[in-house]
Amino acid sequence: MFITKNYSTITDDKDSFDWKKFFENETDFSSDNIDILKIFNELRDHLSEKNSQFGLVFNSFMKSLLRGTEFESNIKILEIGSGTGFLTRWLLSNYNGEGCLVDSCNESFKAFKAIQDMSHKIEFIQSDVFDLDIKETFDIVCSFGLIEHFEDKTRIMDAHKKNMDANGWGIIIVPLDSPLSRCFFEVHPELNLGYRELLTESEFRNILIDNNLDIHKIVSSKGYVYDFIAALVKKN
Amino acid sequence: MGTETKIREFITQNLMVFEKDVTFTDQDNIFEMGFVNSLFAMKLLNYLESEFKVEIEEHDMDIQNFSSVVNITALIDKYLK
Repeated sequence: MFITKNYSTITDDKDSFDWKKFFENETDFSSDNIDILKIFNELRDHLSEKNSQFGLVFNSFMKSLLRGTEFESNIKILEIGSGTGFLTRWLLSNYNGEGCLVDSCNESFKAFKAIQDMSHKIEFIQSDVFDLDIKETFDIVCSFGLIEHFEDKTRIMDAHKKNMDANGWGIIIVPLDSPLSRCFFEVHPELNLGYRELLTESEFRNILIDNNLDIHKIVSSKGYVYDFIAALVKKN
Repeated sequence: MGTETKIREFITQNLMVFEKDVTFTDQDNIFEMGFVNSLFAMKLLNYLESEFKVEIEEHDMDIQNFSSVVNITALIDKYLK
């Protein structure tokens, strides 16, 4: 359990908090002895990604998104910009079917192959999402952490719609613009190696609507080191 | 088979490590020991909910509740009461 420091000795009223006394009392944080690196690293530590916690949060998040939605049996899933395909694996753990992952990244392909999980039928196509040359359509086309990297939303949304069955579903997940997410990406510069937008729910909705997608449900995550938001959509 | 035995058996069968003779006690933190990953957490949750016919609530989605055989058993027992 994380217990925050107690400053009730200074005041019990936040409006009359004595900042001078606070800095005088805090030897580690006195005005002439601020260890910025220490603060930065502690913040990074608090906001470090924990795979197991992610698994739990993601499970609740996806169940909330898909509660009440019926899928055909033996669904076909296409995940673009998939990485190792965590979203597809979650879907296949909860619904019968098969998955197709698309990612151009060689490291993702190697990581995909390294996962010793033969319980799901998943194919990996190493390709740029815009060069994907397959004709078949899928019951679910999905992405996690993809569209925020593209300024041209029409192009990336078209990549989702191209192989989506006329009655199929889209599941699109992006990091949510929230104070927590901003803080997370601020203290993790090593993750900011390209263009990334943080989208508010309103901005996210507008992108989907502008690209002719009907929004069936939108949910936000709770309890992870940054916030993310998902939409369940259909082509209109 | 009791709750604790079932949980232990599931964890043993789904360890993400490749050493053959991995041992852990019912108190060991399986996440801190590096035995498992996010896929495991997801599978564990699915297993618990289907095997014990419970729906684990959001406020219980704390990794500490899932970190050891003892803690998972306590969580499930709470729902089965």
